[in-house]
Amino acid sequence: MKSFPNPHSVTELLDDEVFQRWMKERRREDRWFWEEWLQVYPEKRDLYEQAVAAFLLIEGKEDNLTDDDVALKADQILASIPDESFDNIKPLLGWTWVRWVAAAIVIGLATWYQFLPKPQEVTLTSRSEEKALEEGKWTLVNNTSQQPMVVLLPDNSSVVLSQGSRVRFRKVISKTKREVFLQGEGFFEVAKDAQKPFFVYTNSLTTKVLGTSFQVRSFEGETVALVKVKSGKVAVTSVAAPNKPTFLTEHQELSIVTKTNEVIQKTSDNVAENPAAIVNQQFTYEFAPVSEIFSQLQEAYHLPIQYDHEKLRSCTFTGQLNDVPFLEKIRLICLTIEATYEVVDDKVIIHSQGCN
Amino acid sequence: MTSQIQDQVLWKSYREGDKQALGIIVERYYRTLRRYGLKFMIDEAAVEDCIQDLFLQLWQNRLQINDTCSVKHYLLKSLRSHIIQFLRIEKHFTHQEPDWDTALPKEIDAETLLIQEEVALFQINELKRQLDTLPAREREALYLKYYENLSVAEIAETMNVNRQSVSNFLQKALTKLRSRWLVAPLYWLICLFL
Repeated sequence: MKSFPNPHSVTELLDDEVFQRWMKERRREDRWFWEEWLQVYPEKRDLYEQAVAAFLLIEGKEDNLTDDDVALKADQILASIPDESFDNIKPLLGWTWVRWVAAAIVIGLATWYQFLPKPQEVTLTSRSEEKALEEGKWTLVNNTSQQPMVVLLPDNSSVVLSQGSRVRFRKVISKTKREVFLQGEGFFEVAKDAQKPFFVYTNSLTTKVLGTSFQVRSFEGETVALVKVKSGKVAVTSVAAPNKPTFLTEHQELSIVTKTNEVIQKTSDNVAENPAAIVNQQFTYEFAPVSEIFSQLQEAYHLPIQYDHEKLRSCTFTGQLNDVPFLEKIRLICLTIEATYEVVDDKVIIHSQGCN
Repeated sequence: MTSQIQDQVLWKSYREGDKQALGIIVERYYRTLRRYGLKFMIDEAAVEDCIQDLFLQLWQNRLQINDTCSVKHYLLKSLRSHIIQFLRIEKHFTHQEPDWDTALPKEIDAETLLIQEEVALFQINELKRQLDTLPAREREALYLKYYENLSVAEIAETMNVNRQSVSNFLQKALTKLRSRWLVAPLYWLICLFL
């Protein structure tokens, strides 16, 4: 003999797990069960109908996802999870490495032209990334060269990616936000778009901004992860405490000791230590010759800018370009000197009729 | 319940770094999470982004995450906090409580559900009028209780209020709905005699 629920009220029936499963899954065997139940308790038909009506009401609008849709979504989520080990990055420890970066930038100045890596030469290291890339949704840029390189993001933001670092981002920006996964070190200049916050994810911390410039450093194998803000305001959350953001503004930095999750916040004072680093550079000009600005930008972003020296001889620019991305800097200068620009094969070409 | 045991096993494997285990959890609860997320009246893309964020964070934090007696409850609770954060930041949301959708299903398969369509439609519309007058948090409590089958304690934790409040929400909501349940059979009787 089957045991039938014998509810005395609508809520009792609504509370019944067998009833809930029937309403949610509508299996055939459950239908037989309730058909029988209605025969055993014909006087409870009203109660049953009321419970069904209440359930449908509480459940609300139907969901039209197929099993395939769900499987696809699950795949996409897995593909967006960064992989644990990036085996082509050697862990380099502590502050010696920072000096090495400074040295690399100086060396880079002399040799940047020959070694500029092409973003297409992408190294794949993991299956899920390969899968995501195959679907053509993500771009992965791996800086295996000996110097920083500039990566232009689809929203016109830019990242100066240090050597041995990599970033991954969507080819088409999502409707609600911009996301970059970083392994290593990058200096970000984010195009302003208050509708789409910009997130930088690393293994130990997440940085969220609306439009600003800042540096993030989180190498696998290093004990400290760092965020340093050049302009604007950002929110940093450690992976250990995702609901407690720390807000940083201009010239502030935050480091997290990855083992203990200890958070250290301070005003950055090491401008003198590493003046060549882009995070410490100023892009403020007063009647500065455009050619000088271009050479500063070339050096800072490691991207050649080609222009007619003769024609730009008398062009000058006044203004500050501190918290705008690389291409936006170029665009603003071009706007002032009535020139146009294009990006071709990892260099920027300026077309100008000259200034009078 | 067997699926409960499997949940625990998957949860343990995922915390030990098994990405596939997390994948199965995603597949198992994607619908549940999406349905719940959409109730807060935000668009599909935003709900899906919140779900993705939730799992990304779960993976990143896996070493700090504890065992849980209900994976479903844990996920619903986390999704809610992601959605509240989304509303705060993107929609400059300042109210104390988020909205809650009461849109009805488009079609009711009365035959499968063993009910009389006319009566059911009448009842549902009567009940909906009552539901629309309830505050969003009472509607949400009803949903978590009777659709997701969470306990009062779990609902309290999910909605970030104390247990007594949840009991009050449910009681008030049910009292209002009950007043309609009593009306419906009368309608049915009238129909019979006409």
